[in-house]
Amino acid sequence: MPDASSPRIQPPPKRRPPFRNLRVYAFDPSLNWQIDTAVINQMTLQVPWEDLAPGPMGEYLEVVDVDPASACCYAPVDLEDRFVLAQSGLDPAEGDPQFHQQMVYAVAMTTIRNFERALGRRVLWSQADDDQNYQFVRRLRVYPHAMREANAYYSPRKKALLFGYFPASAEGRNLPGGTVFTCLSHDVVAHETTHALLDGLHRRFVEPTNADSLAFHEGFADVVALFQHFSFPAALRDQIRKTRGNLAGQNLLGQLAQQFGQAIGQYGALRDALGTVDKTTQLWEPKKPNPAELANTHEPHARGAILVAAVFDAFLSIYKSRIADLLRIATAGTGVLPEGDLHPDLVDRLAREASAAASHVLNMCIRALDYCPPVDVGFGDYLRALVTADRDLVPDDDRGYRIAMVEAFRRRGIYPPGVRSLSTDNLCWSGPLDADAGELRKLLPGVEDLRKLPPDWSISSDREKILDGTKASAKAVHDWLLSDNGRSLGKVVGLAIEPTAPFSIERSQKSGLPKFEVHSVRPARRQGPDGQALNDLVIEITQKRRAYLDADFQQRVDAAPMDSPPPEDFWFRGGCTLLVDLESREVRYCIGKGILSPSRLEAQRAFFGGPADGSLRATYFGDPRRQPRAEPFAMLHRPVEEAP
Amino acid sequence: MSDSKPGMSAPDSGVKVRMYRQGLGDCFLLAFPTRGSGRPCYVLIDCGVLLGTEDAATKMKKVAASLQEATGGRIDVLVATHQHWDHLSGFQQAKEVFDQIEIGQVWVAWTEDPNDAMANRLRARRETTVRALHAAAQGLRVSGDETSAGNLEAVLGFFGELGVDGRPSAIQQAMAYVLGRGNPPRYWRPGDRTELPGVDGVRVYVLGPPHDDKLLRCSDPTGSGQVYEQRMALDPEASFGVAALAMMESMATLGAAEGIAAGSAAATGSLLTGDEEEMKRLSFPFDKNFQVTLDLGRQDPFFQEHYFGVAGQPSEKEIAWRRIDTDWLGSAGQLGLQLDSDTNNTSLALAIELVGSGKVLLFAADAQVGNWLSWHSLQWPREGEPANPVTAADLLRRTVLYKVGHHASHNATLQDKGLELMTHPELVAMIPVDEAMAHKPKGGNPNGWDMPFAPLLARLKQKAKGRVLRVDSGAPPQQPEGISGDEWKEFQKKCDVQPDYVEITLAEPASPAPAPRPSPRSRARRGSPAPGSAAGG
Repeated sequence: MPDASSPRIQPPPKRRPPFRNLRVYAFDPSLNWQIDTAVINQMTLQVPWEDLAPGPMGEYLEVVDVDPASACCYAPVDLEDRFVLAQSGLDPAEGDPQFHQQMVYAVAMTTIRNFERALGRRVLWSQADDDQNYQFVRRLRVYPHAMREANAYYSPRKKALLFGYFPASAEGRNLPGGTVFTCLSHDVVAHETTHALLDGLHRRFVEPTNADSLAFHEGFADVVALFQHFSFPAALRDQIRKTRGNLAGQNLLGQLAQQFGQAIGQYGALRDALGTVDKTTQLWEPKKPNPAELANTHEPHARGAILVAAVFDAFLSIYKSRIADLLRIATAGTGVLPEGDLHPDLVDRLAREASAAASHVLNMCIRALDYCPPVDVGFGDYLRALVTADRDLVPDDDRGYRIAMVEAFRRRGIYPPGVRSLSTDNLCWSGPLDADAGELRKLLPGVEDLRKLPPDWSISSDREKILDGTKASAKAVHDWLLSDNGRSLGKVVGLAIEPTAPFSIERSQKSGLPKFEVHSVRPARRQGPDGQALNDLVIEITQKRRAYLDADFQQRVDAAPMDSPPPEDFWFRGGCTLLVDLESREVRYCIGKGILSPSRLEAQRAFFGGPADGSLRATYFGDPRRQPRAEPFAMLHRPVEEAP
Repeated sequence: MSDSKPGMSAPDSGVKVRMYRQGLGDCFLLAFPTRGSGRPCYVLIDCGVLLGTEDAATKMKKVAASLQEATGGRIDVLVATHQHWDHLSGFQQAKEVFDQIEIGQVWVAWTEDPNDAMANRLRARRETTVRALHAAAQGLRVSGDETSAGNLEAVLGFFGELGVDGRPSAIQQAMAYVLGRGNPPRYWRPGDRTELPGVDGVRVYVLGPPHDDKLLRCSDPTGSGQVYEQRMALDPEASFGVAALAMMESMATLGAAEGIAAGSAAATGSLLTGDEEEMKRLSFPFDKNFQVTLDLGRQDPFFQEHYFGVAGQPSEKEIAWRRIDTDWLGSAGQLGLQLDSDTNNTSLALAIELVGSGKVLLFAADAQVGNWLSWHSLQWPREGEPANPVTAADLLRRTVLYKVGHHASHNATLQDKGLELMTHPELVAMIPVDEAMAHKPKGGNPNGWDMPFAPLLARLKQKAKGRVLRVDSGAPPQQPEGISGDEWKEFQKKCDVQPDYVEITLAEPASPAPAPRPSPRSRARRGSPAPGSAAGG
């Protein structure tokens, strides 16, 4: 009998594992029913380790499985259960709601991690609305079985992802009447999570102010879903092996991308953007880019698809340049692959190159978000943001990635307005002119104080403290601009904050001066010329103005203060994103959308004021552009009807 | 045979078309000269006005009385195009008047045929969906979304009032009345061709509705097919529908919702039928052993903490903002639009050909994209020219009178393969639209419905050189642009604008030689439908 006081052998303390392995469907569950695809339809995702409560419920996500349409709820999964831990999560199973909970958690966490890695800081969800006192939202709510329809959406009001399920049709590979779950598609989950992340970064992007606004939300979410999927070599290996002959061509990956989009029929911007199956040859053929297409496409998904197609083109160029040497080695310089199966090592290397290229593109695309204007973003703005962001991270474009991006966008008819040429240098955003730059710099505090502005966004800090810190910093920036000196500089950054500003801009009760809002103050990481890591400060300032479809009316409201101005036809927003070098206090970029710009106001009038589209919805329920939408994405993801 | 003398004459040759001005709804009376008897042949196409029209019953009784007077108490052919209230309400509201009118033949589409399996499935499904959407509207209202509830109910107004206590709805009763007057009714299929009783030189071509589930649902671009092979097959609509009906049932039994008295489930007809109970059972996504009832969930600490809160405690209110109890009803609006559009697509579409001049009158009711597109796969033999059959494009080219579909909304006039093919220099458009009524606030939509659709109206005016007759405004007040003085005078001579109706006379040039008559009810050869045709538009 051992004595209670006798020493026991203590093993050295265990380190927390960096990752938790969780199994998910690689494509969608229906592939499990076909013998040739069943084997490849599982993959294991590595998500950052965090302590999880049942749900799963962690730092970023809370899965609550209530199914009101069925008047049911489903017990939350405990991923800390030792049986579950021992086998990389539950077995993939369509019939087990707990596996569904596991899969949405794993995929959404992967997307979150991709954002944090690309941005170099923690991500925040957007704050709650005013009726919830703008409270901090720590976790995005996820409802895996929220409704009975072929739809899934992000609800900006509830800070929640809602996934639907529906009976499968008799066509295709599904069991007729069997249930299709949108929460079991990797791409759908990644897409919806991206909407939430983008909303956390740019709240105003949800508002449609030009033909690109909603299309950008859709297209960007698809870009993230697609390239996140491509970043798993396991998802690519089998396809690369099977279609060996097409490796040099672009067909393989394009087709694969499209299958992801088609997995649940209607869903996703991908549909036909990349290519179509030729009716006679039954072969997939890439679609020829047509620069005129953009001008004639208005529906957000179709337009978003053009953005996806452009990014995808760029990805293919990058991929091709990365595998050129491998192909030369494998074919002894002939470029002609031998008959028969490819060597498994070659397949493996090609898959890894494709995956690396995808990760790179994904990074580029996410990083560009810090370089977008705070309101009224267009595809052209995004291209400039892409190029600038990438130049800041990789000063030397020796692989030509940026050129590939610009070229792909050009071929799809995406040009930024107001640039003189499409050289990558010309496309990069610029800072204010010399004289203005000096004035602006006077406004900024010393380096020491400036550096204190961005809160500690490092991966270990508390996200609620980050939000509090951001709010305090925003207040500080707001105070700079309130000074007389600051107000006179408004025009440099595209704001109207002087006493003489048009009276369509609301005045502050306290000071009687035009109102404006500092949206966000956050750090952005970049690489200096010697490879050192540098931090910029990103400041977003916005302003809104009552706008009227009638230009004369606008003039009258602009000219003199009114006690109660007539109700606006729409809000016209302007503002700018400033990137300030924390070392030199130099304003490196000033990315503005002028609040006084007549051309922009005119463009938005045309956008809001044109005739309604005549869709059933517009015919019966009113012009969607004039209605505040409780759930902007719900409608967007519902089927669109055919035009007569 | 009726004994009173008809008040509406027919021209010596050709046809006179009368459009009643009862409001937002269709009612057209056509008078053709007959051989022999001096009495014209009268064809009535629909008789209805939108639900919610002021004094609707009075107005429709007046219209019916006028019909009785104009026809001398006998309608030779009564055409009921589809089951929408704005086309059939008169047969309920003015039933007593119609009871006194003698009816020769009743023409409807195959979709009303009780011996057609596809038709029966369509109607059964429609009936479930209408009830389910009424239940969903109630649910939306209880959840505080008055706008969506109102919008949805406004669209459901096309089906008239819901039946109470298991009785058929008003629209079903109206159609049943019409069918009961035919003995038996004629169920037309696309590709049929016929003549009018006692009339020479007029042929009627049946263009739609297509006998094809896919084309009927053409406004469903998911292409998901929805082949109702079995009555029990579960599709997304049914899965939603049975859930909505079940919700209504439990709300009513619990009396949970204020303002919805117990038993109102029966009142709104939302009790589940046996078939629907079976579908409900199939529609659960998981097996029984995974299902936890919401009542149990409310007592579970996890769901209390994260979803329901504890009843009576502050937590119940504090966390309520992220609940999604009724968010799933959000798709009801879309389903309502889909249902409306699907029903419009079952419209009996007729082209009436005046053989002597080759001119055509197009009455397509409210046909939508799928219906229009399907016409182009049809052809009919042409006498003496076997190599040159009559096609839809040919008929459209010869159209001189177009009854504009669905009050000139955007989706009931096909562009490229429809209106743009109507190139006849004498084209006239008749629009049964009451713009003021359409624009009245409906549901949560303060501006009402977008009818007529401005771009379509503009194009119609161009194509018809301003010769557009409307229910609300009658004829154009002065000579429109783009028409010559002679043409305008000619048009004015043909028109007769009265407070209660607008008439136009399309006279045939006197041609002594009667055109050869095809055998009655000759059947067209059906071309194989082009696979890509549904994608156009």
